[in-house]
Amino acid sequence: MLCDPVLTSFDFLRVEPEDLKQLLPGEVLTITFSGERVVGVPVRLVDEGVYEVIVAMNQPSYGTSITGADQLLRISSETSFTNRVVWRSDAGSGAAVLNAGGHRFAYANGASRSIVFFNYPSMFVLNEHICHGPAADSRGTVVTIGSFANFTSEPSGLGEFGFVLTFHSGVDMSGTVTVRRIA
Amino acid sequence: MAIVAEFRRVLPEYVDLTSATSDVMLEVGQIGVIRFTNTREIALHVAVPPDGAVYEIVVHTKSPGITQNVGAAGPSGLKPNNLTYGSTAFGHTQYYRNSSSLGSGVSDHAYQRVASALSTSVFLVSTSKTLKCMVSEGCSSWGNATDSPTFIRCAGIWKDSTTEWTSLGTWFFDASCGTPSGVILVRRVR
Repeated sequence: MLCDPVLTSFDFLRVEPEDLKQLLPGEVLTITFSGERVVGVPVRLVDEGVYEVIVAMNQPSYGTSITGADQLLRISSETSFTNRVVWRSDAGSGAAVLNAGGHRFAYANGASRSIVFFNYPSMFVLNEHICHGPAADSRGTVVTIGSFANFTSEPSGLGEFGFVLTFHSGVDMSGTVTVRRIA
Repeated sequence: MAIVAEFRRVLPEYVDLTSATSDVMLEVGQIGVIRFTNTREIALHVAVPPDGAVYEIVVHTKSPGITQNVGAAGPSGLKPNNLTYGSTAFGHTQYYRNSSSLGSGVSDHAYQRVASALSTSVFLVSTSKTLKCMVSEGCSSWGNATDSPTFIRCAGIWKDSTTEWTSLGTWFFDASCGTPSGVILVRRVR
């Protein structure tokens, strides 16, 4: 059965630590965003928590050429993530190591799923996504990523970690984010 | 610019769609169950809301068994709105490892290709009118000498921004697959 939803509205660009919500296993947060380049996701990460993060973008629409760029799920600006990437595009297949300030949940436009394993001070993420926007991705490039971060400091306290999605393609993005705590 | 958030606790609720004769609108968190027996075409009977939705779909084939040789590893997949479209309407990218090699490829289809031959697949579908796409968590395919099994990861896009996706559609197996049986689970994520 479905439980009654608890509706809460935030201005995520100015989210404060006290606004962060701690999901229980099975609980879901859905965010709808329109015309944004930064989306705060106020989920307080729980040590030994496992989360599913699904991002489905729907604007810019199919056929719109946008710059390929690392769309990042950031925990804090200080965090260094190592992303191992494998892909197949119209232009061929490849693999790369990407060091970035966050988990690369997407590249340009499309849909993605990340399974986040948080075990302080480490975070592991498994991701698959489809990329659309650059010319070489016209059929929808399949991308698989494994990410790792080791938090060398606790910048604002373990209980204050939330997500921030940052879009770097230079255009406003619209879509939804769904976060489900698995365990 | 706008952002709207909604918290909810979702406990799995299963909706048996096996005998459905018309499309049913799943609520967020609900899981549609479609059992199929000795058939290659399975109408999912899931209605898609006008503003789009996200679904996780699991296709599990339980027969014929993994040792069944069905010959060609032809494509299996999803026909949105229970229709096929032009032969290049959908783009598809994939990489795979079968019993002999690691490879990858791209192709176009009249439907959303997801798998090959007999298979068990897990994939995500986003049905927004402006950008309709699919990404597969993985597919284990079998049914011939080189697929025993084959791991496939793929993605695909409906090359269209104007057509409404109103019915999630029909899952189909390639004609080489005989008449398989199994179960399909459709979880509405959003």
